[in-house]
Amino acid sequence: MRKSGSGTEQERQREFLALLMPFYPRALAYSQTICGSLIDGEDLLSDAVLRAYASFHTLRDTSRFKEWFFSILLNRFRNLRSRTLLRPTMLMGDLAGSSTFWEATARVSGDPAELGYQLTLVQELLRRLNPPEREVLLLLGPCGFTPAEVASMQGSSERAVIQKAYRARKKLEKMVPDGALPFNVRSQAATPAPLEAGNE
Amino acid sequence: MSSVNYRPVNDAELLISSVFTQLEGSADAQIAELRYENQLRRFVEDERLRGGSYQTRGPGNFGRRPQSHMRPAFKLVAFVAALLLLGSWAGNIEIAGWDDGQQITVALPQGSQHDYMHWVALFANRSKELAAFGGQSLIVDYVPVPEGGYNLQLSVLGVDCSTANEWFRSVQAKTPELHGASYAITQPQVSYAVTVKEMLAYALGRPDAIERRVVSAWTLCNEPPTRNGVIYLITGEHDPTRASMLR
Repeated sequence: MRKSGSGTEQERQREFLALLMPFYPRALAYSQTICGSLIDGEDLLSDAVLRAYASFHTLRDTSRFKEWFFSILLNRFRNLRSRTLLRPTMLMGDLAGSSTFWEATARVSGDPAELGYQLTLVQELLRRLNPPEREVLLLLGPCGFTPAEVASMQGSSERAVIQKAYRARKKLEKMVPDGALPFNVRSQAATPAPLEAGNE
Repeated sequence: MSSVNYRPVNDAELLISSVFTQLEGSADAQIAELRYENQLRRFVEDERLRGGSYQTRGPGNFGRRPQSHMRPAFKLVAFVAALLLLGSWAGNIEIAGWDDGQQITVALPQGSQHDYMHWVALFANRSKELAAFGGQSLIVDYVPVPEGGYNLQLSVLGVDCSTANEWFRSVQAKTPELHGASYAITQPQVSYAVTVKEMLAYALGRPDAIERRVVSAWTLCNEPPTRNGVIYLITGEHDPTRASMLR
């Protein structure tokens, strides 16, 4: 177990970035997927990076950096989300009242093959899950965390995490029956390769 | 339990996984690293300038265990006491009015087919002219009215009422959709939170004023400046006060 953040400021920054950058693409993809927006996702990640750096000295075991960083990312998203919900006047640009998730995509793109269309569809699907289910689905699936790691991030048990994942899957299955998407998702989907142990 | 298969099994999960993979593939870690290096350097410099925790902690003490958190009950008591103290101290302070924030409310013609994005794009294209008039920021809102139809609310910072009027008339003259539309200029009456990012999205020629205000307010809150912080535009009836309070 190695402690973080000893040495000069420059060394500290280098150490922090060396730990962060191997999984930066995954963290960015997570932020963008959960925000449903490329720009908001980048902002969320930048915000989490500053937060994490400010409390880097509290990390006792650098081998758990990834898990620790994602916990901060999750917390930032939850905080920002609750701020948005508490906002007394919604800007009309934030329109999110589509009755079906298919309608929402029409605002963005008419082409189902475009990333913008698919990202909006993903955002609308995720919005219909409970926040913990949404987190579990992304963390266990594309992010490649184990149930134990997710449980420690969410402050729950491994069993609870697995149950949430099961419920989320059932809900998604009900929302989008196989073959209902207007494009062939099976031909374009590829399971992301897990991060190599040496990179973490 | 770890033997559970988390590969995508249905179309929705495949879609999520596919989008995630595309996003992950388009991330450029090298550029991001350079950006974060600069960002962290600025962050540390700012912290030092304001005499924050970096200055007092010093580079040699980074491994130090953080101070324990205050118990919630003590926090509450301290907060209430601070409010009482502040209230008793600030009760007699008169806050001077200001005249460089205007709200232009435009009644859009009934049956107007244009949506919010149209108006945002239109005013984004006209924002340079407002900057030339001395404007600092412009927020475009699109608000339904009970009688039917919509009002446009343009919240402008940095110009007085007559300048705002002059600018809006110049926009109106060049914009067929706004010909003949009635409008009123008041001090901002909306009181809602706008993130710094949203505000800067409409920042005009002089974002430094907003940034200064944002940074100083953050300093008061002991928070690192980020674009996701929230600005509350707070206004009063008789002594309208623009407060940039960020949390």
